[in-house]
Amino acid sequence: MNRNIDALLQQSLPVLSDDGFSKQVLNTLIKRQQGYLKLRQKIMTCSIFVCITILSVFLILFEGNLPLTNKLIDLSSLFLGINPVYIVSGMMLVIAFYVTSESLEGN
Amino acid sequence: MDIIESKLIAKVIVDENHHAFAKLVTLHQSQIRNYARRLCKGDNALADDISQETFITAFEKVKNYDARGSFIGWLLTICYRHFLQYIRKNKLVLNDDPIEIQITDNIEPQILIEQALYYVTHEERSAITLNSNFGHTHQEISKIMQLPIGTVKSHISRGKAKIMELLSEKNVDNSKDKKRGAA
Repeated sequence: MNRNIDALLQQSLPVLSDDGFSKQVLNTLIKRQQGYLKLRQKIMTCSIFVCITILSVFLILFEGNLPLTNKLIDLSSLFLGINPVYIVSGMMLVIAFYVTSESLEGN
Repeated sequence: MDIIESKLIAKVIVDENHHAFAKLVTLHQSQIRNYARRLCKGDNALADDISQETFITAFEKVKNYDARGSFIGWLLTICYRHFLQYIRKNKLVLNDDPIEIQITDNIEPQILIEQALYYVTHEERSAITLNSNFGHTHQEISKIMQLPIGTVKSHISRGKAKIMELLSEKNVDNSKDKKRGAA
């Protein structure tokens, strides 16, 4: 009986035909890779947005206490009396919002 | 490992070549899917999902393949790990549900043994399949299942003993002998 069982167990399993299995695996793999790429792009965009926002807030908070902003404040007469620090920070924020929304919408 | 297979693996490692990877999948899909089907007690859909995950993980981790063992052995290791992960994730106890073996007069021996294999634990089923069907050595199986060789040997012998016990309980051998005698 033991030999019988061994012989039965050793009978090879059927060879399964591909039936599009490899194609399905490949498609899933490509989809996942594209998903990873999109996610990475989103993370990059969001981190750029965060960096620009922090920089803008930093500029606003320290408007008169940094050498660069001091030079900008000297130019205030050119901008109808408005502190140029606010203009630069505002422009940076608008660009950051625009780029982020465009990029996220695209994905 | 033959030259064609190693060339395909090299292409996947160096260029992340999808075409070469598809060829590797075609080459090994039958064995991986058969193994997964055995592990999943014939649940073909689940087995194909596990096989798919196996190949995708293989593509992602192919750089870790050190070529010391066979490529199919490495794939089987991934497949077994995915199966264990699936059990843990879904908190399945595959061995608790009793399997009723249905014996009819003209049942094929292959079907009978397939049913009997579902009666043993998944470790025993895996070790028996790898050893008896795919011809892997005890050492290779211990690497695939990440168990000591002694444990693998005991899984195989215990599983076979259970199958024998089950079949003798059902008087499968006697009925066959009687049939042979009648013929």
